[in-house]
Amino acid sequence: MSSLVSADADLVHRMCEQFRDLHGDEDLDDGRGGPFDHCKSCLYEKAESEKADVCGLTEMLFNCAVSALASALQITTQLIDDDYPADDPRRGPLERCVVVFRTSREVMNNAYPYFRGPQYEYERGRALVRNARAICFQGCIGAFDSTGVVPEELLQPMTEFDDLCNEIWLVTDDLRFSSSILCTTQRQRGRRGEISKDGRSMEDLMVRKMGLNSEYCCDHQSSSSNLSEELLIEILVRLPLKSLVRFKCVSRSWRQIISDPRFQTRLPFITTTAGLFYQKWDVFHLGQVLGYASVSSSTKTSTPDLHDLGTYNCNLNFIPNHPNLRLMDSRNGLLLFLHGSARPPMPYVYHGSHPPHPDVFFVCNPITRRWVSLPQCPEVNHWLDCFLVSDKSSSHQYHFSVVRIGSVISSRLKLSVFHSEKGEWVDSSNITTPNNRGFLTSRGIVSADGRIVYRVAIPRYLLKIDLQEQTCGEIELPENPSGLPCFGLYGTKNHLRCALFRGRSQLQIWDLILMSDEDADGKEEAAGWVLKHSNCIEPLIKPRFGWSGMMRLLAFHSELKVLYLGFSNKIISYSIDDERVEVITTFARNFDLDGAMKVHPFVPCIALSLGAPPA
Amino acid sequence: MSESTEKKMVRLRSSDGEVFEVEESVAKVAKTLQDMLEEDCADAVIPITCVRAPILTKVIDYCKDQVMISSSSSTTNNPNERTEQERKAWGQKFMEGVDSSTLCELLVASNFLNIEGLLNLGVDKMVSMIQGKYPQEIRDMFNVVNDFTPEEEEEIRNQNAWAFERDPYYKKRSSSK
Repeated sequence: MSSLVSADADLVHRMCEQFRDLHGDEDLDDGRGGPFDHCKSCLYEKAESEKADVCGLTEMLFNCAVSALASALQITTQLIDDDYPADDPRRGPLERCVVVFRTSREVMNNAYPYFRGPQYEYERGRALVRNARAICFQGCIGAFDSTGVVPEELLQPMTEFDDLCNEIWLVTDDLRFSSSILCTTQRQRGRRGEISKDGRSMEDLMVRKMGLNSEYCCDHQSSSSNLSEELLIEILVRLPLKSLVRFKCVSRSWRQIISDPRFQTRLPFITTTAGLFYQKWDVFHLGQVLGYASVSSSTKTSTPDLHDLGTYNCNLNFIPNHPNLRLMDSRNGLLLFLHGSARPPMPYVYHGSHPPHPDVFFVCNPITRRWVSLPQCPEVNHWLDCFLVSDKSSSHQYHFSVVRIGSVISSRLKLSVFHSEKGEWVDSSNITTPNNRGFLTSRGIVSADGRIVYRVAIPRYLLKIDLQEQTCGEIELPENPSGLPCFGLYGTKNHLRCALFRGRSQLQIWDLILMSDEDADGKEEAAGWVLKHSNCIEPLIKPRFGWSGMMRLLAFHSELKVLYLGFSNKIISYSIDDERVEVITTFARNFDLDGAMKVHPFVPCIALSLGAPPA
Repeated sequence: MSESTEKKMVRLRSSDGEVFEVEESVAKVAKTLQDMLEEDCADAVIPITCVRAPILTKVIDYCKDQVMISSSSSTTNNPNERTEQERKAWGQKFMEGVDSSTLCELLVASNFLNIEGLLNLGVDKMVSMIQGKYPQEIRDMFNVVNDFTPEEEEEIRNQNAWAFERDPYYKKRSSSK
């Protein structure tokens, strides 16, 4: 780390020397301190302290770069004034100056906030750095531009010319003098007109790359490639996802921009932002209302209904009968839908009045707009819940399975499982439930590998159904919850996590620690609950929302470490790490949370395609 | 007489040397110019070195229109005031017939001069021009050199096969042209 610092310090020193060489001492030491004194002393100081960490180094680098920029502007402005007679219109402040620096990838990654941060303004003597903007270029090159418009092409020569490639470059371009480009290099002094390896003059190249030369700008042919990365990003973020993915193969630099996670965070929320789907049964319109809300703090938006999802590249109208679809589950970027004409949602089920109806399931990736419909399940008996299991394997093809849990008839549990690889449903009815425990609707979760299904059983038990072993055991919940608990998976091993309320507002989060016993065929045994989090959330809710009643636990979002809660007409998110509460969506009316509302955490996944293309 | 002294004029010089004289209020639509004018560091001709004359003409047209809107909206119940819809229609008309290379120059100019409205208009226009196109069309449009090997390109296509399928919507649109 310190070697990098001293290299930079050395460079700044050389930069200083170069200015002296070019313009003589007297211009620079005019009692105000040397032009780069500030950066020099910072760098030396930092180099000496062995404790320099990435953060410190990043900050220092940026301070130096901005400072160098201001100094360079000042010096050059001074020089212009000295070189031209008093009445020359070319006198006056310099228009533009760029400081380009190279550093380690680590520092660059750390520097991201600086690039998206505020514009910098510095004033030194007569030089004013206006709207200076740090601009990140590919890899480990960054730049500070006094005007904020450096085309990306500027950085290309850095890799072309090995012998010119150093840590900090200073490029000044006085727009009124066509030839004042200064750059500092190790072996070669970038004086104007010097010839580079391939015979083009340095100056010519820099001017061209900066797009500042008027002739170059007039050149119709190449004007298009003139778009800076910044502008290109502005355009790309507004494109529909399909075009964006297509444009990955325009060129390497386009692919790099599009694949950059920092770019992806700027995309419309549904394409890249994790969030949750919610669906409720609208008793007034007798239909399903499906919405999606992202959980990225500032760009939070909610969509009122299914049709509006189109705005966010997630129109589900590519599936036949889409308004009747009922969202059943979500896993790894896939959604499981049931063709909803068969039956209204759970609390409105009147078993007697509806004849058994074959269920039609769809699995779809809302991002890539691929979907597959599952063959009809031969078992037409009533069922209570279904789960989607998908394995994020490395192949381009998604494999998934759907687990459908039937009702318990005389201690026998009816289960149907669909595997996408086999393409058929497999029934099993050999699982015996202990002690005739009844199931509660809509509260359960399936493990990541699809082997184990957990279901809540009355009064405070969790049924653990092992699909492989065809067994059903029970686990006692850690506390007697008030209201229904909710479950999620956490960590790399996807252990079970349970959230419950003690009393009205004491929120507790428990992890189920499983002990793996190698001797007993790797069979896992429940070893007990560990309390991970306990917080009274009433102070977070009551002053802000004026709500002091019970809240419903809706779901966990494993990737976001967020717990969703519902009360009154709101869905809120509670982030477990920093105990922060945010409103996800507000409905016009109070909703009935007693099972009519289903929420499904969602993490978009575009990398993998699902099944065959739609016909 | 008093009116002409009120309306201070500003001279702008394009990259190809043409000088434009505009009212100060028009120039001030561009934030970059506004800053310069407010700091009084632009008494002579302001060089706009990355903008050619035809582009600068277009930019000035835009600025003039903005000035007209803002001056009229200050007085209440003005017939010149535009609704959101009219503004959209005006934007579309303003960008009508602009080809991709002119548009790029316009984008660079509005970014340089820091005119947010024009930049947004241009970006939207560009988005409508390029969406649904195929990579080769984009390369032609932006003069981007394809630096992938055929194998690499094939691999990206295979990984994202869904994105390369023909979209009935765009097909319909292009055939209707």
